[in-house]
Parts: sequence; C-alpha cells; structure tokens
Amino acid sequence: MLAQQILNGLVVGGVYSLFALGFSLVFGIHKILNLAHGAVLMTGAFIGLYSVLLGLPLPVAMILAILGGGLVSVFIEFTAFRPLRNTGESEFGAIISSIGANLIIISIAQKISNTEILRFPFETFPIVIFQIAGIRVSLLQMFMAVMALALMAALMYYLMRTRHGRQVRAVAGNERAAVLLGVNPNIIYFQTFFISGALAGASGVLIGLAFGSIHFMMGEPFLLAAFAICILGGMGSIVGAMVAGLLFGMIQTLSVAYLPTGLTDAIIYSTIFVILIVRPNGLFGKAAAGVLRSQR
Amino acid sequence: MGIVKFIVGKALLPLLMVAALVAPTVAKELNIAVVISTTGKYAFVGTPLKDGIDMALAERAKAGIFGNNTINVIFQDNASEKDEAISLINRMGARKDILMIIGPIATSEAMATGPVAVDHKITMFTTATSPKALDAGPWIFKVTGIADNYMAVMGEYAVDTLKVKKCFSVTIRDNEGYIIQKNAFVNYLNDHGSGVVADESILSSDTDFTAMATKIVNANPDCLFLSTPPEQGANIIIQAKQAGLSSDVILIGNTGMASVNYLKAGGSAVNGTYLPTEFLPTGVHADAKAFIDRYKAAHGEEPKLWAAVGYTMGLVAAAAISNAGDDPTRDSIRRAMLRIKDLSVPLGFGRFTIGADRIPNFGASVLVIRDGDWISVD
Repeated sequence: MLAQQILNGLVVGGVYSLFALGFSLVFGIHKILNLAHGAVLMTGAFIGLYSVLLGLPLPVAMILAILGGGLVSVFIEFTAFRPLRNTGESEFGAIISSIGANLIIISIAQKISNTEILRFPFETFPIVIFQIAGIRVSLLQMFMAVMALALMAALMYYLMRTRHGRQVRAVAGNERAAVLLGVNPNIIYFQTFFISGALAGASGVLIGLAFGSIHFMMGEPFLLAAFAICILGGMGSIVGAMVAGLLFGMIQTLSVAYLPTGLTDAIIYSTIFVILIVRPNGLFGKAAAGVLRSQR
Repeated sequence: MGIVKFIVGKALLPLLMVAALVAPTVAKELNIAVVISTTGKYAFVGTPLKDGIDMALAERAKAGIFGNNTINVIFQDNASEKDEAISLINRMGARKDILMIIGPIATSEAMATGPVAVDHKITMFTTATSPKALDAGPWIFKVTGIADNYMAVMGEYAVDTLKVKKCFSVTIRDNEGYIIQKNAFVNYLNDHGSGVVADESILSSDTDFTAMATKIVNANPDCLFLSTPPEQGANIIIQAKQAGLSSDVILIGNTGMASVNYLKAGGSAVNGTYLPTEFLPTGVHADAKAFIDRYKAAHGEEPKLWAAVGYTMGLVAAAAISNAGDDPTRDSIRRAMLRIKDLSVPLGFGRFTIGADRIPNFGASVLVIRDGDWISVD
C-alpha cells in the first residue's frame, strides 16, 4: 500500500505544483497575490467540460481550456490589477480587487451550471489500468504526470532560455531598470498572467478528469493549497512551487492513508509550520521574496 | 318614535349585521420569508428547495386555499453563511408583517438562528437534520425526519437481509447532518452484531479520493457506507473501483443520495447501491408521481430530493396559513403547524404529520439501483 500511496501522492502533487506555479509566478514577478487564481482553474475546467460536451475531442478541449484560462487571467489583470497599479496603490487593493474578480467569475459559473456538480462524460478518457510491480497505475495518472511535467518543463525553458523569459526575469528583478532598458512592462504583465492562467486552465481540466467533479466552487480549496505551497516553496520561487507541490501532495496522501482523515489538514499545515520554523523563507525562498530576481 | 325604534332595533340592525357578515373581506397580503442558501456550499440544496417552495405556494394559491388573500414570498439568500442567516432571520423576524420563516438549511444554521426566531415569536420551518435544532423553543419546526428512524430502516436491511459484517464508512465531517446519519447507521450495525472496519471522514469541498480509495480497497470491507452528497458519494465509488474495489462489496448510502444526480455522477459504477429514501425519484405513490410530472413540465428536468422537500415545505406552510383562520397571526400559524396531520406530500409514504414533539413523520423505505433504475426492495 505504501508504494501505491506514494504514487498517488506524486500524481496529485504534480497537479498541485502545476496550479501553484501560476500563482507563484505572478507573485514572484509582480508581487501580486492573485486570489482569483482558483476561479481561473475552475474556468479552465468548465471550458474543457463544455468543449467535450459540444463534441470536441479532449486534446482540443484541453487546448481551449489552456487558452481560455490564459485569457481570463489576462482579463483579470486588465480589469482588477492594472487600474490599481496605475494609481500606485496596488499591494492591498489588488488583494481586494482579486477577491471581487473571484466572486464575479464564481457567480457566473454558478449561473451557467445551475449550481450543479458536473463531470466529464465517462468515455472522455479511457479507463485503462496497468499493474506494475504490484502497483495499480491508470492511464489517466500517467497522462496527468506527463502533462504536469511537460508544462513545467516548458515554463522553465521559456523563463530561462528565451529572450522573453529574460525580460520577464528583468522585470521581476527591477521593473524600473527593465523599463529603462527598453522592456515594456505591460507586455510582461500580459505574458505572466497569460501563462499563469494557462497553467491553471490545464490544471482545471486534469483535476476535472481525475477527480470527476467540476463545480463553481472547485477552485477555492486549490487556491488555499496553492497559497500554502508557495509559502512552503518560498514565495515567488518556481522550483520551490514545484517541489512544495509534490511535497504537499505526498503529505496529504500519506496522512489520509495512514492517519485518521479528520486530522489531514492539521497534519499538512503543522508540517508546513515546522518546516517554516527551520526555513522561514520556505524551502527555496530568499530573504527578499521573488527568487526569479536572483536568477538573472 | 316607537315605530322608528322598532324598525331600527328589530329590522334594520339585523339586516346591517347580516350585510356585514356577507360583505367581501378586505384582501390581505400574507408575507412569508424564505431564508435559504442559493449561493455558496449549500446552493445545491437551496436552489432546488426554492423551486419546490415556489411551485407549492403558487399551486396552493391558484387552488384558492388563501381565499381573497395573496401570498407574498420574500426570498433571502444567506449565502451558506451562518452569520448571514442570523442577520436575515433577525431582520425578517423584526418585520411584524412577516408571518413565518422557511429556512435555514443546515443544522448549524438552524441552531444558531433558532433562538433569534424564538425571540421574535415567529415560526421557523427548517430543513435541519438534527432534532437539536428544535431545542431553541416551540417556534421551531423541521421538515426532515429523524436520522435514527430512517437510517435504522437501512441498518435493519443491511444487517438482516444483506448480512453485512464489516463496513467501511466515509462521511462528510463539516456538516452535522451527514455525521448524524452516519452515526445512526453505524450505531445500528454495532448494536446488532455487525460493525465497521474504518470510520473515515472527508470535507464537503474534497474531490481527490485517490488515497482514500486505496485505503478502502486495502481494508477489504464487505460493505462501503457513504454519508455524503450524491455527487461526492458517486465520485468516491468511481475512484475506489478504479483503485480495485471488488464488485462484490455492497454499496450503501444515505437519504440524500437517492437523487438523479447520483445516477448522473456515478453511471454504471453506482449500480447495486442500497439507499434509504424519503423521496424516490420515480415516485412511490400517486401524489409523488403527480408532483414529479408537474415539476418536469415546469422545469424540464426531474425533481431532486431537495425540490421535493421544498415542495413539501411549501405545502405545509400553505396548510398552516390557511388553517390559521381568516386573520392569521404568528401564533395562530404556530398552532396550526402543530395540527398538520396526514397532509398529502411527495415525500415518504405520502402523508405528512407533525407530532407534538414538532418532529415530522412521513415514512422511509429502502431502494436499490439496478441498471440505472430505482427499485424499491419492499
């Protein structure tokens, strides 16, 4: 059972990582806590679901969800964050405006779904189970792991190996200096919010497929988890979000498996608390939040 | 003068009195407040509940049960928040033109708002599962039966007919209603020579049951008992079957899972589930079948359990108001609630009676899902 549960934890943790990456990316670069990020995940799941219900194949639905998540995230940036940024009062105002954006998106989804819990049709993803060394591995778990790894690798490549990625990191390090060097910060905001939303959209479809539950409130528990993961990994640290996401998934799974389930949240957050006592800035965090700064 | 006195006293006065009696009474607006959650985590209950209440009151008004009076329903959404429910019940109770309150939904909300309703001396008719909600005072009524009664029906069937010996139990831990149903079932098993191999809990927002599914399979139970909302229960079963749960394991649920949502969410995976039910989605008696047909015609879909519960609440409220006299007051409505007896409703066996303890009685039975159909085991 232990090996099986470790596998379960890694797969779930991979999805947590993917979702938390977007949250961490926006914070790491722009120092914005986007509390509408859970609603973007839900939007991605809804777009994926309704695309499949309209008869589109799953890969197309996944692409639409990624694009849709990205665009919704950009829309949030345009409407909830940019006006505040222009006034120079973005820090706390952004938290409130993102809560507002979150509520609006959730309310729209509630109307669309008539408050029902929805799910992908049963035949959307083939149920194929492999027995590998006594461990049950489903094709869906493999797909989730591959998708999470591929998207994380693509993000890392984009940030570390492309010209646009260098510009993003330049803005993360010092926005004013980047502007003096000719970087248009609005384009960087557009990129980071789009990528963040795209990752959330992909996570939404994966979660909807794996856990069979798509609901207008589905993003809320994941948002709380993403926040905890970002703090555990180090606020703004991309690598930290990846590692902490996996760790979060593992702790959650193993505590459910071996301890009374009523204690799961207490165990997760106590563990995080203990880790933060040892490493106050998180596993990969620096004293000044935003690890991308030091990677220029 | 004597003749005038005679005409006024013996002829005109009686005529005037008769005229006063037969003159049409002034139509009144009878206000009912409905404080439920159509947003937030209980929206899945509140939305169909509202549809059912609306439908029942509209039907009863059309049938002329309120005479010249009109019913005015004031809906308030407490957004699944207890504080909001307290504030709304307080506001509605303070309005003297409101005769009774339907709601709130959860036991926790009802226990918090009950004292407020009692303070305002206004009937509060709630869906709360726990009878503890009634402790606030004589103005509180509940529409749901007692878990000890309807889960005992399920427990008896599980022990005597299905011969279950070791159940794996999973319940929602952030809603007392689910815990009460679980406790009633588990206690019955323990008291009758059966038992549970594990008593696990989840949150109502949880969706990832992969770890739980593996745990269920490894516990090797002969029965999986779920006290969860229908979609969540179906989801656990699907994930457990994907983790290797044997098809021999008997599936047992709570009352709320006797819902079309359970079939939609679970598909073939939930075949064979045994459920205690207060409302069979296909109807067990003529009144229920008639309600289902009318609901489908009005809403284009089959009614959920909560729509039937809302419809029943609307019928009970309408009956209480119409039986509370020509000039109903809060107190006359409360007394009329206590006189509700054998009211025709779609729930249970079709006859709704409120006992002196303010606990309703309408019966429950066990059904099983076979090839996507509901079949009564009785």
